[in-house]
Amino acid sequence: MTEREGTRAALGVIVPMTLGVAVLTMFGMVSVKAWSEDEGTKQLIFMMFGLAAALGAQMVNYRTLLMFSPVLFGLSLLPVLYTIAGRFTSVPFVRQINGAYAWINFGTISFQPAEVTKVCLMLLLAWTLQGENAARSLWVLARTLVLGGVAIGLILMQPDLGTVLTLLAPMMVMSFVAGVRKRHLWGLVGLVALAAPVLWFSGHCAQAGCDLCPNVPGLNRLPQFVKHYHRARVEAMFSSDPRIVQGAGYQQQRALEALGSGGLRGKGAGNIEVGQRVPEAHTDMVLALIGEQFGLLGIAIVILAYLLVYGSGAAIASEHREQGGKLLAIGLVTLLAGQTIMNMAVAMRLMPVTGLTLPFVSYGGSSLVASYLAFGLLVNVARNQRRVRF
Amino acid sequence: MGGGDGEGRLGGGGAGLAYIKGAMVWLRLRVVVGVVAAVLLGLFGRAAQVQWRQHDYWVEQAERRLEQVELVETSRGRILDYKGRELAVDAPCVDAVVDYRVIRQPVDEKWVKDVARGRLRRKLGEDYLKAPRDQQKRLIEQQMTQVRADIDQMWLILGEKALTGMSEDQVEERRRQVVRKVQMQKRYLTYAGFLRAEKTKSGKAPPWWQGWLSEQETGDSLLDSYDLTVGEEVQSHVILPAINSEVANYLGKNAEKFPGLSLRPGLHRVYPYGEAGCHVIGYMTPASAEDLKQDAEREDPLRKYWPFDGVGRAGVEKMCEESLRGTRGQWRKTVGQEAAVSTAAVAGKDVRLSIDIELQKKIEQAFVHRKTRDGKNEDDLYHGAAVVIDVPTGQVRALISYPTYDVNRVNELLGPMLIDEINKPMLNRATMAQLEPGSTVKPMVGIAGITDQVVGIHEGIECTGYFRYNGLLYRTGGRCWTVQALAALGLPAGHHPSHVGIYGNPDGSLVFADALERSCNVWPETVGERLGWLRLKGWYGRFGLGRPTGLGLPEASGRLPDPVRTRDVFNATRFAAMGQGIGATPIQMVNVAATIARNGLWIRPTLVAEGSEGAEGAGGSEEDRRQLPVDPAAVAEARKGMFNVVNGESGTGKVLRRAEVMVAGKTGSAQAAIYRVLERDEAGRVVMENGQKKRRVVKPSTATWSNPEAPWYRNTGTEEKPEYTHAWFMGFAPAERPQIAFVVMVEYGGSGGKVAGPIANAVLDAAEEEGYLAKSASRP
Repeated sequence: MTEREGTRAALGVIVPMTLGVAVLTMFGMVSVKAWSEDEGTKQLIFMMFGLAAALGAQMVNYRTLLMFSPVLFGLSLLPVLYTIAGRFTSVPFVRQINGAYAWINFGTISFQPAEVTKVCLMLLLAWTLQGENAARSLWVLARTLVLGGVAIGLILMQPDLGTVLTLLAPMMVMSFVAGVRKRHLWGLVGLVALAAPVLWFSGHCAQAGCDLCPNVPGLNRLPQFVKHYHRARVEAMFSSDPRIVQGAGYQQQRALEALGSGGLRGKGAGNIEVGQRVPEAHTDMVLALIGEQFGLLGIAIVILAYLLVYGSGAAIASEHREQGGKLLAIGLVTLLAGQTIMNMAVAMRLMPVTGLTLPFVSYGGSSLVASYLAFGLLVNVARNQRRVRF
Repeated sequence: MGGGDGEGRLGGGGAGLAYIKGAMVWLRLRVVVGVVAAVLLGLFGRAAQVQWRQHDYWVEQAERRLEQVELVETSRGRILDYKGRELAVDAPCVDAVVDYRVIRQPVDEKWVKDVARGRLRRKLGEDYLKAPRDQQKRLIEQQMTQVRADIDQMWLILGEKALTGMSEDQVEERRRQVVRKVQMQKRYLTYAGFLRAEKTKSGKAPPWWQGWLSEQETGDSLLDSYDLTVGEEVQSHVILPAINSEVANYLGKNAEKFPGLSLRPGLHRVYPYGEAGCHVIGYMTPASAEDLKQDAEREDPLRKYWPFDGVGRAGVEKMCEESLRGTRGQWRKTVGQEAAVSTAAVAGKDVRLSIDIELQKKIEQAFVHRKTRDGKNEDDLYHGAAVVIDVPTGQVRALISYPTYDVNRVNELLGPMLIDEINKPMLNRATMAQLEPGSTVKPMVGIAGITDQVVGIHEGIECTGYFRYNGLLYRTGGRCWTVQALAALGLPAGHHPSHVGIYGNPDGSLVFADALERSCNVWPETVGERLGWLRLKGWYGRFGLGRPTGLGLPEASGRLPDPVRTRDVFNATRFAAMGQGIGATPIQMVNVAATIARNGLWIRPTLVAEGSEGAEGAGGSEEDRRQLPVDPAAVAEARKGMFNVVNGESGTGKVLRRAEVMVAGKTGSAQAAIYRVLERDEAGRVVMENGQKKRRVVKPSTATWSNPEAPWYRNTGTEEKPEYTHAWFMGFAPAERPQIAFVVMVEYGGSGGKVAGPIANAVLDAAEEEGYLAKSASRP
């Protein structure tokens, strides 16, 4: 089957998916522009880059990409390593932003390498799990975890906990869909259950007189995994102490005000009097801007658009006959869906602040380009369906 | 996702395992998609909760956040004198103010950046705007460093005592207080929001998860209103109040070098008459932490004290604080909305006093230099008090305490004055000094005795110089002054010189009026002993001794004869009858004179003129007038006696005799104690000795030597036989139809007639000049 035929056959999923992405991009564009004229313009340029990335993803068949995924993954790790180097010595273009060395800054444009690494990891995992019944062997599962662990470990060194969280869901889901044995799955769950308290209690706080972080004898010699500010964010969610809410919980409190004041129908495009005062509203809290401008109706449309995109993505995975494409599709869908859910949950104070963007909507070049790249790859998978001939 | 079915069906072409696997994948995909969809729907539910159910709540929260509240300052009411002259007024001045973003520590970086950018734009213009971004950034960084350095430099210069009159510490303290004030304002509004939320709170607290999701019911709105912006955070605050033109020029010229500093017109309290009436007018100091805590109106942002607010500390500024203080205005604006809700500020009410400031000023000067009757100038410093009362109304026309101080400079003088143990300039002697009134109580004793019928109007009591009781002659205490006077002439003790008996009494037997005229001690001692201490005390009390008059200023209550404390009832009583061993303040004594002048009608003295709008703080209305149960004939006799003190042959106050006005009065010379003061070291701390505050004796000035420390503290006796005397003169004029009553008290001055008399004369001169004393038609 030629590509043209494949495309035509897959139009049933590609069109709704593109429609969904277009709607989301539009909401994002309006909100970012309302937030700041300059950044609205920039967002438009980023979107062009995103479209280019999505189109570029069509140039090569995804199977070729899977084949070269170890190389791609390795390449994508290089800038990550570069940023980590910034943590230990002074390197050009890297500086600390919000406590992490996750960005490479070129003057006005900055770039977050982990965003690309995420997509490449999906390719790599799909490649490693694609063999027939691959995940049923413990070895392959272990390989998956190790490869994922490399990415997670490096990103943790930046440290960017939010991005790491988005990687866990697709790793689990891909293994799950690839057919991991139930006992392996339970074993994994058990391991996590065992590791969790150790991770939670490991390390000690560098701040003197900190009463937030645990200091368990023995464990406190380990490096601290959950940092002080993470704990502060968790505490802020449950606290009603004004000092804490004004500190760590400030952003969420403001976001809820913007969201809630939008009501059912919103205040209309561009009206973000309240949202203007939400810190980072155009990136992490863009949902609040949408909520204020377009109300619950707008939120409903956004959620429907996401359902459309992810539903279509899942349909691609479901329709696809090859394990590699299937896994890649479901991996990308979970990656984006997980990020979407976490971002929304943060914006509505159902989760501590993580600093994740809303795919296709939030301001930010790396995030937008990465989302579009994932979208492009999904389309690629859909178009390269191999028909079974009887 | 119908594709899944196809997958299962078509997968059948392979091995059975593949079919199973296909089905498994399909199932597991469904699970994943189902979970994602369910979570997204859940998120939609949460959005609905926030945007639909809690919509009103969040709108309110958002509005409160967008609200800017700003207080509009008001002005304090004026204090006017009886003739409408301004005694205290909020006058325009220039304040050096600094933007809050520079006052707070650390300074607002965003603000610094804005200033840096502005400077670059001004300095480089197009060059800057066209420069490449990197260079722009570098330039801004450089300029920001410069701005920060300028800010540090500015604080140093503001704290340069030689230039601005404020030390670095003072400026620093002021800076801290501004921050405290703004923080407090924020906290106050938070509290108000909290109370509002408390009111609407209902029912019991929901479980934590509900509370967490919907704060609506938990009432922790405390936090919601916490971060509301107060306008003061982006405004300038006074750092150097009321600067002079020199400083203003300097700061204005170098404005570019002082980021955030500007000059702004303001108001400050000015007392045009300076020292005159300082004890009456009082003064203000900034509100202390204690004031803020004690403030009864601390719930009302428009009325409550904020740091830097002046609080009346003494005199009328304190007495009429409530009416003088205005009510602030408030200005509320919601960001993005044009309409601002504002409450206009209400200026404080003016208070018109009954004091005549010119009269006050002239009398004050009399404590330093006076004109004697023969036109000579006399320059002698006295400390003391004088009060003039309008007899018909009880209004105080002048209330002098000397020494005085300049109210305008009270901020710098306050510290040294408070520890000035010797001069005690802050003490309002007219109301706070309780001294032995001496002979000035004698009219009261006589009126009491005659009214209670222990002595007749025409009954003579023989004075041989010594008090005689039950046939015993008391030679020790309570002698009449004649003993000494005759002894000085080398004569034995005897009758008052050249006294002619009247009403059939033998020579030397004094009736009430005679005794007053000559200020005989034996006469009141005898009558006092006949009355007994209880009745004597009662009569003193009726005339207003032993309790504050209720003027409105802080007053000492004085002391009355108290035989419980003094075991020697007999001596205590006869001494009390001649004004020894008891205490009275000048304001009490002037009211005694006024009461006698009104034939026994007691009126509470007042400082506030009739019809003054700010008079709420002045004395109460209950029992402000009372007719004392006196025998009118006794009062007439007392007035006759007091008339003779000035106008009679043997009067002790003849110095007050004047051609046009009949004056009645009574001298008093009370024995005073040796003056001891607290000892203080250089730092002004009280020196302690054996756990007690150490006191030292002040060396008195004598006729030949003046102690530079206390020239007014006089020993009027000799080195071997020192005499310390408080001089009194109380009286009223004109004698026949009294218009004013007055008292003069001079601490350690000497004899009443000699020292207090000339000052009383100055009082009468001044009253005459200011039109409070009409000339009598003729002398009787």
